[in-house]
Amino acid sequence: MDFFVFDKYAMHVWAVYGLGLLLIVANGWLSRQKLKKTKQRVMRRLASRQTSQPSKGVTAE
Amino acid sequence: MMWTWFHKLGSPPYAYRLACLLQPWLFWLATALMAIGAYGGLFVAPTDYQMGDAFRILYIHAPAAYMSMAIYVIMAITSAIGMIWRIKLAFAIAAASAPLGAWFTALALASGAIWGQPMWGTWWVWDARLTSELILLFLYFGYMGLRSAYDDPNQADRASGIIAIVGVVNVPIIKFSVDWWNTLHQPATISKLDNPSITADMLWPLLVMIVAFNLFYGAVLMNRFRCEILNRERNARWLPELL
Amino acid sequence: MITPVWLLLKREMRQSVRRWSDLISPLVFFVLVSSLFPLAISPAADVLRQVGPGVLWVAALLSMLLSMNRLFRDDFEDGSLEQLVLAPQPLVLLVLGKVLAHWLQMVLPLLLLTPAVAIAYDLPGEATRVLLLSLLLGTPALSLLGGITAALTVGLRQGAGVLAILLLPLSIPVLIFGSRATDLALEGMDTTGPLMLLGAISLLSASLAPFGIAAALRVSLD
Repeated sequence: MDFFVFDKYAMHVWAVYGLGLLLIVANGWLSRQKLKKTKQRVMRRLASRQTSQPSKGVTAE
Repeated sequence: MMWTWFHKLGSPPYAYRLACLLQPWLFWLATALMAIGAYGGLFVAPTDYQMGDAFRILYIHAPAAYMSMAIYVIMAITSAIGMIWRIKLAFAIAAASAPLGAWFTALALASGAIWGQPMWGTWWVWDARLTSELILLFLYFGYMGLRSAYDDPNQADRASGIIAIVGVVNVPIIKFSVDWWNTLHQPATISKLDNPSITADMLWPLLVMIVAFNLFYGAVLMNRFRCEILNRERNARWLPELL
Repeated sequence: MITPVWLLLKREMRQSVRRWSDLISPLVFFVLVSSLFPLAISPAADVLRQVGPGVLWVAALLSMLLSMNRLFRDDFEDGSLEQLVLAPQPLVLLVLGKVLAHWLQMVLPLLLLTPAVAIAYDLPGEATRVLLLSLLLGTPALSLLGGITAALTVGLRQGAGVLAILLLPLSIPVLIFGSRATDLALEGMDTTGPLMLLGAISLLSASLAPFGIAAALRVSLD
């Protein structure tokens, strides 16, 4: 199709593919970011527990 | 034993490692297929004689709509597995799926509206499919709202599991009622979107896109699933060795 | 099997008579909401007749939503809900009794009030009859679905908001069939189809929802 003719159809198709791309990039990035943050939080937790209360702790919930 | 894999999947360290292993494969495969599908949809597929180039929206719209429903069903099934066999990781999959399901639903709605504008002359019509998609979005919101309202993850799992199952029982009834309502109100003005015939050139990009969306869901799910495992197992003994 | 349900029903009824203001407020709400629409849209009789069935159904739904929040809350707060769950009688039957009591207290008065509101909307007698019948057939399903969502949100602080988000999408089929049945009656067409469907939804809910409510209560009381 000819995308460089900015008729109403091409504009709409561009908009939808743009939205799709945005959603995919955003979700991929967000989930990565969330994983990174969660990992950091868990690591910090582990580190602080090892220094402060060595006796308490390693029991599974 | 036949069921060992099933039990293995229920073990958090095993599932965590498996998710680490699968994620890049799913992600890159999804990206590649999406590029192929988008190319096929935009450039290879012939222009539709009725809808012109606007029908190319189908290659985003239909997979998104399909995923929005599939993910809700997956949430209900994994919740049921979690309730029946008391596998906490099954709930983790359900919880990790919900946000992406809601995003796909939103994408299906948005692309439907953008498609509707040139086709029907307006952004929104109370078409049966758009309406039931909107209700599905509310079901996702309900699920996520209920989850976040509970402090205890265990309670949140089971409560949201019940609502996912109730929702999935209701989805066919909602679908039926909305179809019925729609045919009474607007007799078949919008059958334009029903594709009477579809050529092979039009079909394969669609199939590729559906597979790509599924793989992408898998890739995002693996990341979110690992977050869920980390949050749930933050006191577990195996965690330090793994990180 | 039936005796404990009967006793529960009697207890609920006695309690509600003591707290009559709880009984009145959904009714007042129903009448208030349905009197807002003529003010907001138009007092013209033909307009009112057209929107009447839908408005009355939505008003009834919202009024039920308002009272649904209280379904298990008082019992949860004074601890008698825990007794109910621990009771030797099957919980599924007991929650059915609870929901039935709630329906009798909150929805039945609403049905009795509906003809008066229908007159204000200039609905003819036949349409009012179908409206009443559709409410009678449809509201049990709403009560039961509301029971599940109320049981899930009973322990939550911000339960009312979540309850609305959970219940309203699930109640859409009942709303569609109920208001359409009355619409069809206004147009002088056959209404058995939607009414039968409403009955079917209520029966389905009555057979499945008690299990959901029981499971949800067990989760909430954990």
